Amino acid sequence: MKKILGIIIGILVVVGLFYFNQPREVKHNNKETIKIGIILPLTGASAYTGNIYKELYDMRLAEIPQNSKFNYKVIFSDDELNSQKSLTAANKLLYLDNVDVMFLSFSGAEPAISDLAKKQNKLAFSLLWDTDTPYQNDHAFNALPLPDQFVSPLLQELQKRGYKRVSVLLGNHRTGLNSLKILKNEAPKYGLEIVDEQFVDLNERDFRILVNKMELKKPDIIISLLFPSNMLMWVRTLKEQGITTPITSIDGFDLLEDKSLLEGVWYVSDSISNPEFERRYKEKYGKDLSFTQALWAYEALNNLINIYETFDTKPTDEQLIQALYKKRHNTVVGDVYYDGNGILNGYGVMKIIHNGKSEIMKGQ
Amino acid sequence: MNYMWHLMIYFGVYGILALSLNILVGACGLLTLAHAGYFALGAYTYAVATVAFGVDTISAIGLSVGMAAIFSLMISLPTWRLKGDYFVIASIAIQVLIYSAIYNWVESNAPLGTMDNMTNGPFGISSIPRPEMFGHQLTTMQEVTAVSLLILLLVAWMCKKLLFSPWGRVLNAMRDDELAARSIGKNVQFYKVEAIFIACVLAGFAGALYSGYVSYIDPSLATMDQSILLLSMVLVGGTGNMRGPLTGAILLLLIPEGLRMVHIPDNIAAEARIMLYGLLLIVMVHVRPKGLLGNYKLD
Repeated sequence: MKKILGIIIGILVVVGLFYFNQPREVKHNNKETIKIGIILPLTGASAYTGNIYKELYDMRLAEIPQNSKFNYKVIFSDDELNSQKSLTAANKLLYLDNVDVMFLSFSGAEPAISDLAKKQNKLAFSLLWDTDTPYQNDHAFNALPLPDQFVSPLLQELQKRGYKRVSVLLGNHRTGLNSLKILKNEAPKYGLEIVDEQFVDLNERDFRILVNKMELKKPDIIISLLFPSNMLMWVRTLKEQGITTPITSIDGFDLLEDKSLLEGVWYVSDSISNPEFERRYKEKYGKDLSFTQALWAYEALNNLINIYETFDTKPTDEQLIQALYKKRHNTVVGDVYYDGNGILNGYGVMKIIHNGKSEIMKGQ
Repeated sequence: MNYMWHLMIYFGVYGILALSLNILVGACGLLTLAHAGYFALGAYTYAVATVAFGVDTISAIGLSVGMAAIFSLMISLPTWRLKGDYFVIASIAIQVLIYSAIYNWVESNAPLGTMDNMTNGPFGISSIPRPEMFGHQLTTMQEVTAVSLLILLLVAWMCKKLLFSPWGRVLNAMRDDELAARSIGKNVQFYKVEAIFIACVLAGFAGALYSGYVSYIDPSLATMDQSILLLSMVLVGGTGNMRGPLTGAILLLLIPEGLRMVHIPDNIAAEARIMLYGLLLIVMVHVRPKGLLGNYKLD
């Protein structure tokens, strides 16, 4: 009997937490409140990435002036980059916290969460290379330009430098697979042949066999689509094994905190920061902004807040969608806009690593 | 309120999984780490059948259950004579095999459900239709909750009948002293195959239910973490009866969600919640080694 009583008390305590410890809205004035739910991997293997995104969201929130038209309340939710946890977090944000807009992580559950959001007449913003969701759901937006928008500059550069035979190394993840699909379609137009594709698990750390296997196909250059978790080990292994085949990447080198091993390497990136923004970041967090792709998180929230501020009262979902489509956003990453499918249009820029830091290549 | 419905549906699904795992862990004493694999197998079969081939709900559930049943032989036949640590290692191998197949059976340009692309790999499968019963599609959360809890009740009743029948007592005898069970003429290996068969069928069924509800699945369903979560439900709640695994399922679903509600400063919230969760589990296991409501302590 004591056991059962203990269990019942335990369950009551947990349920009590649900009802009596819900986030409280702090209103300093009579302004309406915009609730924004943000799902991120704040713990687990991708916590490094998730926490940099969080810093940039926080940075934009801190910049909201006192005289803004609305109060902005942000609720962060950790999903450990697990699609099941993402779904539960989204349910909580939508139904319990009643958020107006959601920013999603990159766990893979974006299509299902976007559908949930649409049913509640809410907007969902993804930050991943997802080629499908925004096409199927008018309430889903992709706040990160897709690789097809910046693969061309890379292929042009390869053609210009006279490369013919290309190997591709990619993490077995939807991001990498989407990019490979685009590379395969576009490469022949630039006289390039993909001679080898190697897939690695995201947890792979030992590249000794793989780097030698790739050499057997004698590529002129290797395109890496790895994640930061295994990119550094791969680069180290190349150096250790004395392999001198040139390497390049789509975005990947932006993600590395330590770029010193890649001196002189050039690549295409979708992220263009500016010195003023980097100074502000360093001032706030006391470190350099190493992971520039996270800028898109800042931009996504920045664009949304700017759109909200054009309204006098809280807009409906339809009004918000129309306003997002109409506006061009000229901010930290340059001049971008959402196309008719809800995908952010950006552009690629060639970068080179110089003195351990990424720089935009001359003539860009 | 929809959030509570969502959690109740999860409880329905994980309750079935915990009860099915209890047949192996609690009744037979077979510690398996492949259960998430069978859960994922059921979910993927349902998803591929409905999305790629337009199969109706009942047939898709039948296929999920059938697939899990066939593949249960994958674990039961090679482990015919294994027990203890060796059984655990064999189950890990099967788990890895299922996960790898789901993760890698993909070719970007091939349509879903073909031999080149059976699972869509890391992309997962989306737009899975909600279950349809007697010509009525379950569209509201309340309907799905009612159906999943009703199924959970049926499964609990069935498991109780099974485990407290002469068949269940043979499993217990096999768990406590296999040699003694064999000495009285019981074909323990066959009983083991039967128990694994039933547990995998139920896991496949839970997978189909889950797939129909969430409308999106990906390989994370079949990870080792997922298997460990299921095992934790059974061990924390307690084995050897019905209320233990169900309590474990409720607690391990509710505690992380409850901790989301505790106001902790944003910069340490995620880490603090994980630590609190871990601490709670350690305390529970330490204070109640049989699980909260268990009858049997695993060696």
